[in-house]
Amino acid sequence: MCTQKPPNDYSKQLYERYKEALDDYIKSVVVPSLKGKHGEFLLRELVGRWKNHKVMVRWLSRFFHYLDRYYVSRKLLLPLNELGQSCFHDLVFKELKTTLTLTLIDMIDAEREGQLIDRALVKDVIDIYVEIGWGSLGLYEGDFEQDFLNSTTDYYSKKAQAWIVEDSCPEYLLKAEECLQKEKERVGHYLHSKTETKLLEDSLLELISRRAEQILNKENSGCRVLLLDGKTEDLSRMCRLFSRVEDGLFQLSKVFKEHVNEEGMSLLKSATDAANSKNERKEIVGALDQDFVRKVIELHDKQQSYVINCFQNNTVFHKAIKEAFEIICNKEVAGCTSAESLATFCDNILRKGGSEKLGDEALEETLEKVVTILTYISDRDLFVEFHRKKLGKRLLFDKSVNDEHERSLLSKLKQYFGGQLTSKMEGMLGDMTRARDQQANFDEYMSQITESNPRVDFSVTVLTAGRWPTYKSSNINLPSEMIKCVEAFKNYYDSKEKCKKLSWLYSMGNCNIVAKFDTKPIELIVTTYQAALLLLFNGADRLSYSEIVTQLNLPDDDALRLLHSLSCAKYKILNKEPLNRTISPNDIFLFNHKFTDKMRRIKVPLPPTDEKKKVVEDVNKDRRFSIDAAIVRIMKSRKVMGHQQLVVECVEQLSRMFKPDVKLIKRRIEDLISREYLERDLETTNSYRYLA
Amino acid sequence: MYFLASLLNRIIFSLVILRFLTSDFMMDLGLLPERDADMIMVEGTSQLCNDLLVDPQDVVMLVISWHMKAATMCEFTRQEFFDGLQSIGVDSIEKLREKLPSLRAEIKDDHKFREIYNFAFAWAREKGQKSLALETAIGMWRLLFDGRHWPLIDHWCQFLQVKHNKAISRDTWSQLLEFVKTIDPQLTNYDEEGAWPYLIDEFVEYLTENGCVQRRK
Repeated sequence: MCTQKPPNDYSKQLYERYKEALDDYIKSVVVPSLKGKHGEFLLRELVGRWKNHKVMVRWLSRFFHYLDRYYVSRKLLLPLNELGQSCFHDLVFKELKTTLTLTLIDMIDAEREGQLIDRALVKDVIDIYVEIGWGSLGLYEGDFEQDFLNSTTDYYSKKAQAWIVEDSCPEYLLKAEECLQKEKERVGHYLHSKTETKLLEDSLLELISRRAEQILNKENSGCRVLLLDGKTEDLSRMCRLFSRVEDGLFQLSKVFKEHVNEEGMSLLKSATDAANSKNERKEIVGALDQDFVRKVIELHDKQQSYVINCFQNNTVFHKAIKEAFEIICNKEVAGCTSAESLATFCDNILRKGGSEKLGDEALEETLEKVVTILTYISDRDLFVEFHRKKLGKRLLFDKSVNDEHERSLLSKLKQYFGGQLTSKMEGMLGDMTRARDQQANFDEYMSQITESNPRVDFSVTVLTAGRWPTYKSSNINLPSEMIKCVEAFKNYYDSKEKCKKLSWLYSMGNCNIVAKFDTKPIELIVTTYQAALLLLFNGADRLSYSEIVTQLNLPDDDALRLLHSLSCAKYKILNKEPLNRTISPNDIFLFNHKFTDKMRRIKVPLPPTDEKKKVVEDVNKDRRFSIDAAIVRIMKSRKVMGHQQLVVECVEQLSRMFKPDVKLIKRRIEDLISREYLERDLETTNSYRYLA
Repeated sequence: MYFLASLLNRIIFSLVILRFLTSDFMMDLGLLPERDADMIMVEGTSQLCNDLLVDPQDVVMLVISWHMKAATMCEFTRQEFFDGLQSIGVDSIEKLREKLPSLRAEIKDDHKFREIYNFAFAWAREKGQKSLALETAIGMWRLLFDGRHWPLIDHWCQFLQVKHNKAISRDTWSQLLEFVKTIDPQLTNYDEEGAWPYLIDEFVEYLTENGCVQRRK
């Protein structure tokens, strides 16, 4: 009928009749069968009818295939297949779709509540939505998905409201995670895959986003509490969930930062309180700031582990730690800056007989932690200066545990902060190695000479000036035995190094001297000064203060300290008249024949002078030079620069070493103006010009 | 005709200068004999002031010194003296005396005031010093700002004596003029992040602390 030419071409009528036939069928059979049915029955019936319809349409299209190929495509009409589907859609689906959707949603909600539903049925119905839309998801999204998502939102909103009140934070999070998992599975079972993202997003929104504040701050179980109790699993879960919502991690990190801040502040407070209540006994105060350092390191470790294990090593959290610790680590505790405390801490672990005894690995780890803490301290140059002074003492008095560890710490410092800070100290270590080598040569030399051989075992360490801290040393009158040693070494050294000059630092030497007491001889480990003082008593039994001072050519403050250490401290090698604990210029000193101790060998310590002030002064002086140098460097390359900009660049250039005070920078600029390195630019206000 | 007259003027003027250079004139002024015949020193300056009927502390002496580009206060070299008189445009003491009011008025001119102010620093300095002694500086400031009504002058001098007590650098001196000119007495437009010298920052802090001004922090 189709191939004939018009007016015998019945294609059009055929087409229309086809449609009519289908419509009739649907109206007469399908629609009545669906009427009156509800709920699952409706669904089942519909699925059945749809299946039938599909088969029917398929066969019919085959019959009229020729029509399809020629008439339809020429006239750009709907292909027969689709025509069939559209009939079904118009007559059946359109009427029922709201009911269908509601029924489906009810079933899904029932499943959420834990009931079993016929998943296959749901899937089939949903497939209808998809198929009837001719493959596009327009119908699916419009008629089903939107309502489904809305109902999901409602459902979870109600649930969340209830849970947030009843459950603790970890429980809530657990439930939330479960729900999300189930929804994901649901998509796999019967929903279209495209729904997954939107579904999860909406659920998360309800469960987490909207309730974020409440979750984080839940009393007795919120984020802070979890952090304090170390509940890593719950925290990990929290992080996982929050990372999926917008700004979630940011909010979480805020709470974390508050937590770290508070922990830090409470540490500070307890340290300061302890210091204030015990401010008389110096040793305890010393231990207090060490305690503080140790606790800071612990706190840092703990928070770092949280970030790494629970918070996915996310930079936002690292940043929170950094900001919090930068505050904590720059406050003074027990009268010491954190720089000084940290240096003392290092001294304790690197020193033989220090308060910390650690194995090699533990020591390396601790050093690593020390350097990390140092990154938070802004006055790094202060730390370095204290460390250098203490290093000097360790090296010279042979108190360093291990050269390797010293070098390792220096190389870590270099790695983080550049070589400028560590070059001097590396030089110091180099000097010690060279001195040891040299000693071997010197011993050989000594064994060969006979007349000027002082016959005393001694060693000399040659230091390169400039690398070591400046040590005060006065021109003390050494006993003749020591003078011979000095002469011998001088001859040796002059013969080897013609151009170098030696200045002798007797104040830094130490000496083992055997004292013959009545009971038994005891070896005393003392400083060179102390030894020189004691050897005076070989020539006289009683000596007055002024005699001692004159004979030794000692300055008064040194004399006071020396005499105190030998006569008023733990070991009374000398007796003093009058018998009291202070040294006065009228005192007389006698060798204490009766002294004894159960040990054969005792160390008579000389308490060190307080160098803190000097270190701070030196560092401040160096800072002035550094600032001047930085300003000149910047101005030289830029020629003209605004004031603000200059300050900012200066601060940045120096930030590795210390944080310069803006007022100080201003003063240095003025100083450079008066020294004619810079001038004020006359054309632009607030600017400077470099003067070549 | 005109040309001839101006030529004549010039000749007369040069003759007048020549007359200056004779020692008669110098003796008239009572400026000789001095130990150093090429310099007018303290006593000579004092004599000059007498002849001009002015107080040696009068600001007009500063103006005159500026015209003369004198290197040091109360000292004039022969060169400075005559060059200065020429620049003022007078050839006798009487004429100089007559010119005094107009010289005093030169201070009111903003441009000239700036030059005179900046000149004053080096002029009032002790020979060989880099900075200006505090007492001298305060005296100079009072002199200079008296006619210009800077309301904070007293506070400034007080602040310096209480808090600073050291000499004044050239930078501070010249920047103070900027401060006086641009910053209002309530300091509302003062920017402490700006390039003001340290001493002026301290001054502002001092004023705020003592409640002399209310500053929004």
